[in-house]
Amino acid sequence: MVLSVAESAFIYDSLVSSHPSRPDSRKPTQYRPLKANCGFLPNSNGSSRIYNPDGTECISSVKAKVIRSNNISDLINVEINIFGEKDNTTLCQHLTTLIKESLNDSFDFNALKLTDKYYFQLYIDISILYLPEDFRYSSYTFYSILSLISMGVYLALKSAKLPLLVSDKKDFEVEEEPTFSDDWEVSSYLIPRDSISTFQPALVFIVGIAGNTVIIDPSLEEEHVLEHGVCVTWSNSKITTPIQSLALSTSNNKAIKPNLVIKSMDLVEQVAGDVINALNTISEQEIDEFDVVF
Amino acid sequence: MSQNIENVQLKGVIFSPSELALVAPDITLTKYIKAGYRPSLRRFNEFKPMIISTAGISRYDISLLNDGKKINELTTVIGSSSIKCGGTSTICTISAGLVEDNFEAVNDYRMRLDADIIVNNDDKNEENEEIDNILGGNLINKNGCVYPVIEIAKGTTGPPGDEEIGLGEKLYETILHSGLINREELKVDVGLKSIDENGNEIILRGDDVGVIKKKFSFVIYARIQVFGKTGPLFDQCYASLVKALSDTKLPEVYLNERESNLRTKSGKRNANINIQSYDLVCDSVKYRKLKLRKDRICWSSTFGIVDLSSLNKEDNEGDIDIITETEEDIEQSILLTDLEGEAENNLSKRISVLSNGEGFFTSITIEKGNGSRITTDIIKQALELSQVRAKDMIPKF
Amino acid sequence: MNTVDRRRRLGPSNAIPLSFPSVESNSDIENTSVSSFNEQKLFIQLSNIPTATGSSFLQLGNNLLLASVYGPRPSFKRTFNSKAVLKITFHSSPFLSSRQTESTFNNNNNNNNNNHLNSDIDPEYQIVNSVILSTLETACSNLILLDQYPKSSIDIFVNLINTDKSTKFIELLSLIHTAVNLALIDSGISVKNFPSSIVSSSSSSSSSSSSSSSQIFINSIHSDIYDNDDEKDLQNEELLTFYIPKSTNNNTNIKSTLKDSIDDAIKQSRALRSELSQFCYNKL
Repeated sequence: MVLSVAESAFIYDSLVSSHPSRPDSRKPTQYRPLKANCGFLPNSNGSSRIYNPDGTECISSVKAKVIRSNNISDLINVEINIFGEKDNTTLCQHLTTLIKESLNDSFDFNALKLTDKYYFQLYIDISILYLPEDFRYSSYTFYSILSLISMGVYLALKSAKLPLLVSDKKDFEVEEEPTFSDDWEVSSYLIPRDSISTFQPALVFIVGIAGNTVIIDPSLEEEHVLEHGVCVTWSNSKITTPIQSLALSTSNNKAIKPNLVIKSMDLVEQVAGDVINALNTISEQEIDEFDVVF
Repeated sequence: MSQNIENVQLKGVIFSPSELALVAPDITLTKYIKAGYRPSLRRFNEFKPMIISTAGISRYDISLLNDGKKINELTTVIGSSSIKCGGTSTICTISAGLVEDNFEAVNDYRMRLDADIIVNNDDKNEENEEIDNILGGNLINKNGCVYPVIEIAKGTTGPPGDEEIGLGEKLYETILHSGLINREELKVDVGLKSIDENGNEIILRGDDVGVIKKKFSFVIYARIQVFGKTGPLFDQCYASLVKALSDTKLPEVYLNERESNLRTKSGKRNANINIQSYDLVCDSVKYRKLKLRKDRICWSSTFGIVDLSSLNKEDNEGDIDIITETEEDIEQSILLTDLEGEAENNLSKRISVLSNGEGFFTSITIEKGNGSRITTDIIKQALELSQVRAKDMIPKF
Repeated sequence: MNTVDRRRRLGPSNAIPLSFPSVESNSDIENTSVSSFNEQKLFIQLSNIPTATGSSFLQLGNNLLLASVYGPRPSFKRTFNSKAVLKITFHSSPFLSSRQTESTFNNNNNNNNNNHLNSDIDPEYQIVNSVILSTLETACSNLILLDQYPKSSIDIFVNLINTDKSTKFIELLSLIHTAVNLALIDSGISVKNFPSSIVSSSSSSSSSSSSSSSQIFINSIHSDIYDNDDEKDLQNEELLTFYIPKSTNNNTNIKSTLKDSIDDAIKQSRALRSELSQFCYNKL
């Protein structure tokens, strides 16, 4: 999207004013409406589809595989595929790194442990089906898509089901491959639903900064005038790493004041709880519907 | 109106020297050469000084800072060099891999084809041997080679350019055919790491190791990075490669026995033994120096030949007296050493000589190029100059 | 990517890369190196590549880095660009690849597919190309006055020639940024202010365990506004980019210590900047 000088100046001015107003009259803490459902891919353990009103759509799938390893850094594999982009571009690689890092940081690997020797290995495939046409010729860097991807992965993981192990758990002395029950009725969720003791996968938030204003979920028009972006990870009800500054577009970049980093974290703390609740609701609802279908 | 047109005169355009050098480098070059100098203000047969040193970034180089005697565990670089010549600097790093002899390139038909040698092993009659000798023998079996990758920093990204590919190819050919590295030198004496009765680690070698039937060789990789290119690079790349090779230390290699023990310990006894699998590990401390054949160490000099004849005819003001000592020959060719700058780089007539400084040459390349023929005098002059240069430079390796 | 590069001689494809077991090193050296990282002597050489607009060579211990800036060069591609297009490339020696995660485009050399070694590497030390590139892109686009160079392109290259095991990734990251900063200064391309990058590891004294240290990497400039009060002046610093890696212990709340660690980092960054600018000034 190419904005004229007057348009971008107007958006910028209204964002940095003492009572910031956003082009789509959202509050600084307000997301754009999202649509999402999960568990719709029959041959993956967990899946989700999430899309923005601007047409950006993200499909994530989680597949589990049994691996004989105790090397925790191998257990989660992330692959991001963006329509029309090669997978060796900085954007793709960096999105992959950030998602992987955030998950590795927050994941409770006991959930993946099968036996003494065997683990589940997760393959998370993310596919971005649509990017705005003029992406290549515009100033956007599209790191903002990270927020959408992260929510997609969250939903896919929440909806992921793993089959029930029927063989012995203690196989340290036995040379036996684990076997599973073929009844999906007895499968269990990867992330158990009894909310109290379990962990939550990490969510990555993108915060846009212009002047002294911090806004969540910047739209394309806003990104064009934003001075700086910050990616903040939230997991298990606190802010964690990776935290990094990102250029959301190259048109109006400025350095960031240190106090704004703190401010953007405050913003994430404000909204994170609501986002998690909303996503949890989606993941629980849609699965039921899926079961009804079959 | 018509009057006006008649009055229009062609004005001569005047370029400043620096502009002319940019617009028409060849004219600048001839102008300089007529004055008896080159654009770099060197004389025709004056070489550029070259600073040769080890880069000190290989695994076995002891870092000068803080922790004095530690090996840099991170790199697999086993030899390095850095060469600075004018504004051009090269960094050459050497690493290696291991390859099983039986499967190796030696018996790869395509590789033999590449090296111009096709030897029929089955019936090796006299005639064949004769041909072998003419071609320099079974080169691939006698001479070791290096696989160089050249990267020239030009400020652009993209796939390797013609020059980079060409240089790599030429370096590979040169090292292989010059016989700088004896193939035997690359053979690996695989040891077996084991624990003796007292619990000490011992390394068995030679006949003690019955298990190892396979033979291994080192494959040497080189990566040469060139920064600030001003002229032909082969001389400098070759020098940096030789320097790095002379700095190269090959690690000791052994078969890790402990690894195979681990496999059998868990689970049922002998359940998972895989006899074919081996785990070649290099000793992190011990090494031997890669020995080069001293008499094959050469210095490469590339010369360019510039013709003044045709330009003299056009240009009447050309002051021939300064350059021509033999008046009867108007067709004057001048041999230039160590080409530098765009105009000299564009010279198509080249002579490239690899000399060991003792009267022997391992390679002489003459590119005919455009223009007048290359005379024997010029070739003689080039060979002599390269000898002198080689004598001077080889001790600095 | 399983493509074979037929353009160059890369050796037999079945070659096994050298694998060196790690030496059981005395751990006290490893520990001291962390604190001494910022105290080691830094060797800087500017303008060492005459064909580049600006270049810098950095050595800190075993870390050797070469950064070069080419441009601004005319760019006639596509549509009109009202500001310079920035392109940043990071190369690291393929023989160091055991520390790298992602395959870069020049990675189809068959002599460096020793990915199995990755598993042994502490994530703190893993070189992540994408983080390097994205932080560099952010920092440089914030630093360079790109508006002044319409219809042109600026290329920045970083070559990692050597590094060692005791240098953490984040420390390397700040070195890379320092090299690029200096190369930009050397090139004479208009920048907003003199940048400096630093890794600050502030061990939070409040928590009981002594080993808990949170690290932060910043690359920052001073804004146009100055304040006489040193403490207040800290707010006038502007961060070009920052990166907070995984902290050693998960229990501390990052946010609570962040303000102090940023302030701390800014102080260190300024100390470094004054030295670097002095160095560059003397070079003039």
